[in-house]
Amino acid sequence: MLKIAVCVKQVPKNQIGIDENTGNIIREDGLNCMNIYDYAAVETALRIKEQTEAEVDIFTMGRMDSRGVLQEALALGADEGILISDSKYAGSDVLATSYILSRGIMKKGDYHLIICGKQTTDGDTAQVSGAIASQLNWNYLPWIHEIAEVTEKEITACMLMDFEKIEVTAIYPCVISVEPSIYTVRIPTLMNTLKSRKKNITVYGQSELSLPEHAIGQKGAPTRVAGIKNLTCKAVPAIRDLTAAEIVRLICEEAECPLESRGGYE
Amino acid sequence: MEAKIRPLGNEDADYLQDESGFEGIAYSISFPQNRNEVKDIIDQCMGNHETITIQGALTGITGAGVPLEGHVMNMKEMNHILEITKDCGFVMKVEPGITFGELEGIVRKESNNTYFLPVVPTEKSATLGGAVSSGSKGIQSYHYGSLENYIEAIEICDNQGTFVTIEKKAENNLLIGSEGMLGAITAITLRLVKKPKYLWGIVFMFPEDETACAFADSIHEMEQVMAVEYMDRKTIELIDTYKNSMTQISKVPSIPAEVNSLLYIEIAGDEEEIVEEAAAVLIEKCVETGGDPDTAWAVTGETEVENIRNYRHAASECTNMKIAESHGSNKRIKKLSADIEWKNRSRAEILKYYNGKLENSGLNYCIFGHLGTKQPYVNILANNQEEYEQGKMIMSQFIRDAYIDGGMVFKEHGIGKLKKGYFCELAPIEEINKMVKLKGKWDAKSVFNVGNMFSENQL
Ligand SMILES: Cc1cc2nc3c(=O)[nH]c(=O)nc-3n(C[C@H](O)[C@H](O)[C@H](O)COP(=O)(O)OP(=O)(O)OC[C@H]3O[C@@H](n4cnc5c(N)ncnc54)[C@H](O)[C@@H]3O)c2cc1C
Repeated sequence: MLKIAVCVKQVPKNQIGIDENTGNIIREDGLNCMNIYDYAAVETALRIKEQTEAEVDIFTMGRMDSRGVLQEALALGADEGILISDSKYAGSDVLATSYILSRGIMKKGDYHLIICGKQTTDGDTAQVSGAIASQLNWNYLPWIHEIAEVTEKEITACMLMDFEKIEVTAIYPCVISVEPSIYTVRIPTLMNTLKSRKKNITVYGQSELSLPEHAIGQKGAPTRVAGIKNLTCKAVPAIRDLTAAEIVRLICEEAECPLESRGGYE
Repeated sequence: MEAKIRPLGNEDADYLQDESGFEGIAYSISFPQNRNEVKDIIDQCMGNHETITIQGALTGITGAGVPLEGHVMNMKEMNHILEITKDCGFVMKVEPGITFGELEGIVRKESNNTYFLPVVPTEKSATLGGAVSSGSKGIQSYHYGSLENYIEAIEICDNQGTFVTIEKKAENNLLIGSEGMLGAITAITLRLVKKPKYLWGIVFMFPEDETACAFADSIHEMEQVMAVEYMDRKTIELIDTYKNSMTQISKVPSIPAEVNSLLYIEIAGDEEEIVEEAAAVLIEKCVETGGDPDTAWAVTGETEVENIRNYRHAASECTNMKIAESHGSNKRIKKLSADIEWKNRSRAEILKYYNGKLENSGLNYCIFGHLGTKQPYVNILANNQEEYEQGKMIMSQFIRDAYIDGGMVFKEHGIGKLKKGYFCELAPIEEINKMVKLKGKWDAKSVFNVGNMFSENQL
């Protein structure tokens, strides 16, 4: 049976603003919800489950009150919810988060496929799915907007690039990130909602995962917010002819921000 | 002091029309920012023998805040919190121009999300002053009753520029539903209630109204039920035509084609188990009354419930958009709706009655709203003048029959200018006289909101 892990995140419902000094999100109204992009990931997993025989487990890393998003995914029809939570994980950036999530997923079982939403509404990096693939050294298909075929061994899907659509096949194990447009997301049925209440949520903390302290939380996070600036948009001609490094250099020049590279992805 | 009054300019066209499509005229406008400015504006208008039309956010659907002449006093800049007392419950004194959206955010923050105002119109940009003056209700009125239950005091500035505070016990809520005809409300003291910790929103789908009504009847005694809202197939189809352009609901999956009747139910409580038990009871009742609970949707928690509420709210919005389209091609076509709360008819009888009359007429229409309190709204969507006139005749018949039934005819959206004709012609004389007497006592010179409810010569 195909085993699918889906990563979801609890985010503030209304992003009130960003603290100009610290760069932290100011969350004043206290309302949280599932990251809007992650619904597409859950829906994709459930559609695959409906077509082939599959088990769908939902993972989230966050505070203990993130249980709500797991419960919601269970109500949508997922099988199990796993909350990865420990005060030591606080302050994790993309690198530390993807490390912790990938270790949590590995501890739970042997998955064929990990599905993530394209990005989050609070972090906005769109890098966690790729970072998980990199941590695990798995195949990676980002920006999926259509699933063509799912077999016991591989998945064929359509990637939505800036200028074209590309159909690709990846052998398991594999991480995919899906576009919000991939499916219309269902609303939980009353029956599933009631059933989901009876399901247990597994909690993994440091005592279960025993991760090296230098790789988690603030210590494992090389990201530092150097400052926040309001930039005016500028059109860059023929961006497709530039390499990634050239684009980064261009952005740094525009932002008058020194190009610095640290951490795991130099 | 010279009041902040300026002549009405071309840029002020928005202040001459509300959501009903009713349009008016005025010569000057002001946006007071505090009670003293309200007094100055009233004094100056009185000195100039000018009438004043008070308005909030103009989301009203009877033309009540639309001027026919004189001065417009728009209250939207009077939206401050004046006082919050937390020692005995949660009491707050606010200015009337605060919108329900603003109020909700402030109460959530100030009470750490533990208190709320339970009776609010689904239109969050409406002002509190507008809602008090219209006698507005909300979907949770099913459980929490009227807005007046949560009002401790109202301060009003009368046509002499005198501030009068009316406390709940003192005068029997005479300002609720008075449509700005007695004076300008300058402050409202609200007593908020504890917010239940757990909230579910459940959508039950039925192939026909009879089963939906039998189900609604069967859950009437349930303590955890907060709201019972209805939508017919025509409303679902109307929403479908606008859905893709409405970001808040564009992601809601389509309602299956075999569904002709939809009930949206909210349940709430402070203990999770009790709310889950209530959900289980709803399933049982649904089966007992011939429905299929397997097709029901359910969402839990405030954020998710809000998304489904947006779908219900879209019924009102899409109806108004459809009317605005017809109004665009023929200015005489305006909103044609009834918000009657029936007394002696059953829920099934009410729907059958509306459908019977309208299906035979060949007119386009839709029905949705508070079926739980026997108050579904019926909207006639006229495409041309002939249909509009025909629709008006049918509305008269509804209102006539509602008075015979002993129902409450204008109790949510008000009378304003659009329904004045029906009120004056069809309401019992005692009901009209009560309002005329009140107006005579407070505003005999007829300074405020000329043209609402009845004609000046009735004074
Ligand atoms: C999409 C949509 C959904 C709606 N849903 C609901 C609903 O669920 N329930 C409901 O009851 N209504 C509903 N309404 C109707 C409308 O929102 C309410 O009647 C609302 O309370 C009007 O508030 P407003 O601030 O827009 O008032 P306006 O339309 O500006 O004015 C309404 C009346 O209030 C008077 N008024 C306003 N402020 C003052 C003041 N400070 N002092 C004295 N008089 C004043 C005006 O003179 C006028 O008579 C809906 C409308 C729309 C467009």
